[in-house]
Amino acid sequence: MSECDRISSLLGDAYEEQVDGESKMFFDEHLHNCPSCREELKWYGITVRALTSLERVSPPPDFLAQVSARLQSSPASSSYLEFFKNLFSSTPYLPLPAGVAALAFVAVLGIVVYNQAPTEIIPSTAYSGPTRAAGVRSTAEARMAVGGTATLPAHQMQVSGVLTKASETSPSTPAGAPPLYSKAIPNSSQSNLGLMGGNFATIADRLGADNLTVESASIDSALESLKKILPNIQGQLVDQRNPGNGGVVVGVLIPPSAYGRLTTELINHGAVESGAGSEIQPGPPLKKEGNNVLLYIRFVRTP
Amino acid sequence: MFPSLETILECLCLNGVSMLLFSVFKPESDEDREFVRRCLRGEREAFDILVEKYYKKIYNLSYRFVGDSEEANDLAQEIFTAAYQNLKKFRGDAKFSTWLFQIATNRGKNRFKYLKRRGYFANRGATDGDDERDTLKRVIPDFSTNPETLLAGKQIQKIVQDAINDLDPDHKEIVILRDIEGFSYDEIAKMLDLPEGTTKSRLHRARMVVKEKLKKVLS
Repeated sequence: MSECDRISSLLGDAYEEQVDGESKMFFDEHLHNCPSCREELKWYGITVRALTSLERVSPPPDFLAQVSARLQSSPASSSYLEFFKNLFSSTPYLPLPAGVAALAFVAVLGIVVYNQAPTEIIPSTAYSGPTRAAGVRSTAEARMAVGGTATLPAHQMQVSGVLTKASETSPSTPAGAPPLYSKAIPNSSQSNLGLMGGNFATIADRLGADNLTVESASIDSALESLKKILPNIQGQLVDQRNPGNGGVVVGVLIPPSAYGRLTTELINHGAVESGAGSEIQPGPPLKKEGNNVLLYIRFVRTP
Repeated sequence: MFPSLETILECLCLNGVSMLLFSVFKPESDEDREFVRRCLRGEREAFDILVEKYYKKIYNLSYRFVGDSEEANDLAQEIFTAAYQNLKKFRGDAKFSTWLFQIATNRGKNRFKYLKRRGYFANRGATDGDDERDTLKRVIPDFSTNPETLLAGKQIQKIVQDAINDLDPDHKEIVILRDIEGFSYDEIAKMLDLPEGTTKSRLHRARMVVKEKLKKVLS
């Protein structure tokens, strides 16, 4: 490094009179003999003075009003996530020991409350199944207003579903139609058809997966219509019984994902919530084939 | 009946310890912090008072970062909005003004980088840089012999601002904070989270660059 380079590196300190001792002597001596460095020092001073004497620029007269308006429209806190993130660190003046003490206090309080709380354990009871909303019924004509492609003539039948589960203890257990048996749907969540992946109409959601009752003036034509639906949803008829009261109970094997479509189709043509009837005795669970589920549909004549 | 001397001394000792602990944990209080507290309690008007206190300095800093009134206006508003939205993050370790100018510097630096990438400063310099120099020479013909006179001129403001605009962002922020806003090296080091030595050396380099620009234009 040449002497002039050293002087150049000292210009800042020299301007602020921070050079002392040996450096000061070197600086003064060099400057005395070097016009170029003297010029550099002069320009360095001019530069600093030019920078420090830049005039202050005034904001526009309505600046405060503009800021106020902008603040008005912006939330004080960024987000709820931010709030939870800063829950223990956002208090600006709380020293760390106080925060730790507060946390410890809350923990101790929690332990005390936990220890003093009654430890009554409610034994789990067998699932009795959701009860149906009996007596809710609407007309097929009104339901037709919901629309849908008519595969089953609405004027011919009504579909009533009941949300039940195969349980002999349940007073509302539907009879006649054996319960749906499917490993794909755990018993505890059978009523939650959303897990099956289908799109369910509101009523279909309430009907449940166990069985459906179709009320129709003409059971034969309703049955025929159902049989037409089945190929479209990769379903098949696997069982057909005549309980003897003029009705027909059919078992259909359908993919779980088709349940929604089937019930929706039925609902579009007049599903109502009504009891399946206590006279029907539950049958044993039937086997399933592959991933398909077995659904029993009871056709009864409209009274 | 009366407490013994030993008891009195014990009480005094305990009081002393309590006062010591209190002084250790008691946060540094200033007027700004009180306004921050009130604002955090939901009084938005308290923040308006802080805005009123600092808006001129913040606007000036913004202007020096972007060199244009309209951009400075928007930037300064953005700075106050950001401060308001992040007020909960102000922990009181430093002064409120230091915290506010830290936000201002970050935002200013980012805006400057953004504008520079878009060629904002290059376009402005190309249009009026030469005209400015000619005007300057006409107004003050003897500036080379008497540069001090020059500093009082209006045109020099533009030349210096252009020279600042040519700096890289790391140098620009230090020149603005030290030479224009007048912060101490210690405060700048805190704001930028840099060692004081680095702050000084960057400032020196920045001044040298500006010096060369001024020499080139004015000589």
